[in-house]
Amino acid sequence: VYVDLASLLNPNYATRCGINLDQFLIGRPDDIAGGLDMMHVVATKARSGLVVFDPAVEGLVTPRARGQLNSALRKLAPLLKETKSTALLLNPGTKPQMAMPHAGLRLHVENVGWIKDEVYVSGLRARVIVAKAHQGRSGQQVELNITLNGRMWEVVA
Amino acid sequence: MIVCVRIPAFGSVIEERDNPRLHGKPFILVDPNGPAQIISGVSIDALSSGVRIGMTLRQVQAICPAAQVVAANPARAHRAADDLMEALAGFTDLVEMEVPPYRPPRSRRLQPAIGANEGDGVWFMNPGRMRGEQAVELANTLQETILERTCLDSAIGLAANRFTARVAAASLMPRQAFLVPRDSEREFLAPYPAALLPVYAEQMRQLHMLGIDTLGTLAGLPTSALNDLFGKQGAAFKRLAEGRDTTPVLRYVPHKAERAVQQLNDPVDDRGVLVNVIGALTMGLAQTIQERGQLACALMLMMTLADGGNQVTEIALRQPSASADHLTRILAEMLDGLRLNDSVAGIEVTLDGIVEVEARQLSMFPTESVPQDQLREVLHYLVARQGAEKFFLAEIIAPNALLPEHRFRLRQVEAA
Repeated sequence: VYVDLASLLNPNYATRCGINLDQFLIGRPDDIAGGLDMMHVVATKARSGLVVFDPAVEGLVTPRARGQLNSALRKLAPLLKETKSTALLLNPGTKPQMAMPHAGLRLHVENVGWIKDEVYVSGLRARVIVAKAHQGRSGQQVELNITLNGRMWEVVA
Repeated sequence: MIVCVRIPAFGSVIEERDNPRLHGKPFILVDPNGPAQIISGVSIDALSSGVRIGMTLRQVQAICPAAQVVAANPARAHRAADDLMEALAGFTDLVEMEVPPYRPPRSRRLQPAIGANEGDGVWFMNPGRMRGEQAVELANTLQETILERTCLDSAIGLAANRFTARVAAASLMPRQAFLVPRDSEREFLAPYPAALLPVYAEQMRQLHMLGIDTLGTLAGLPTSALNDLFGKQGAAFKRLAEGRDTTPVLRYVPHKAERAVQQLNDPVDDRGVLVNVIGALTMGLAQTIQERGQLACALMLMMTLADGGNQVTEIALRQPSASADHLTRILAEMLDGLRLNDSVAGIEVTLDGIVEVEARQLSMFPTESVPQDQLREVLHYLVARQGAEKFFLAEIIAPNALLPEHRFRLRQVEAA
């Protein structure tokens, strides 16, 4: 389930990244509270599933909304441990503001540079840093080439 | 030698050919399944009033109030373009179609290709080396063949390279042909506007500010100056302006499709009957391609209505298939999506993009998937809490569409 708060998801790109649309539900709530409710229901009822919460635009995450989010995640974190569900939060900003204390794994994805095919941008080089990990060591990093046609490969380990 | 065949306002010419009452009248085409209020084709009479593809209906009403609005039939234009391709492929394998003529310009930022906002249909051919007289003779033969096969008049430009041939074809009226003599490409292109180059709007503005309005002026500039202005593209612009385009013409790969048509004795309204007829047609087609060891990548369903109108829908399959049951189920869903305002008098089913079966290694350790009934239960609960209008299932309809938002469709989940 993809909670698409800003209605910006492109399913065509998602399929090229390997998403099976037969098992993919898009939720477009009116506000953050609605999105959190969707996330809570899926994470607890489905017993095994992935729910992605994507505010997409930094401006949508107001201080009040951030408070709601942290409060909801505090309740959700112990429930997730009892199921096979996973909740994935995308943080659109540059600062790690959301869900800091409750996340089991926090990855910091940074755009290092654009990949150009002559004059057109065909992808980006991303540096992924493990900022926090309950299982394993934090601080590890890897550089990936993410192309806009959905393929990804490792460059520097 | 490169031959450029151009048919002005291709989509509307096809419409006019098949619908004689439109002859000589200004009209515009609006795609019923495309963006609302945006026109996708313009007749030659409306073009002379200044109407262009991509304008809104409101703009058209202001410029040309007499223009009639006609529902576009992309499938018909598609088929006519394929017929023409096949006719040209009879002369040489190296045949290529430019931007499909029934589609809007590629990008708003990039200057549209020559004639793209007028809906020109353009085909390139490379018949190999030939003398001037032979080339002119070939152009006449081509025009006769096109007229015979498609009842359309074409303009033909001949030159040593693509860009020059394209500009030559764009400067001609239908039934005309022009050969640009070898080694005189630069002189031929010199008086034409620099806007014919594939430049961005901002680059065009810069050229205009510098007083570079023609291809001749641009060709006279040193490459280093153009490189300073536009980077690597500068040298490419200079090559085109000098008539030194090296872009090859691609080889034609025949379009593989299987089609079945059923005319109904009495017009039918009943969905069940329509689905049965579609199932029977699909069964026959699926059996044919299964025997050949092939799969279909796309489906097209065309319903001919009792009033003579057509309703067309196309879908690209996520996985190629030759299963009659699977294809029938998808076609039944496509039928439900059509807005049929009259009884159906004929049904046409096309299995498109037919490819050979390729063996595929299945995963030995498939990832665990969530049971479907469990997901349905969650969905039911979510819909009850928040309402069905907030949940969607995505469906890919045209993965190669130019605009990302045209490539998929979001279907609201059913409340039940």
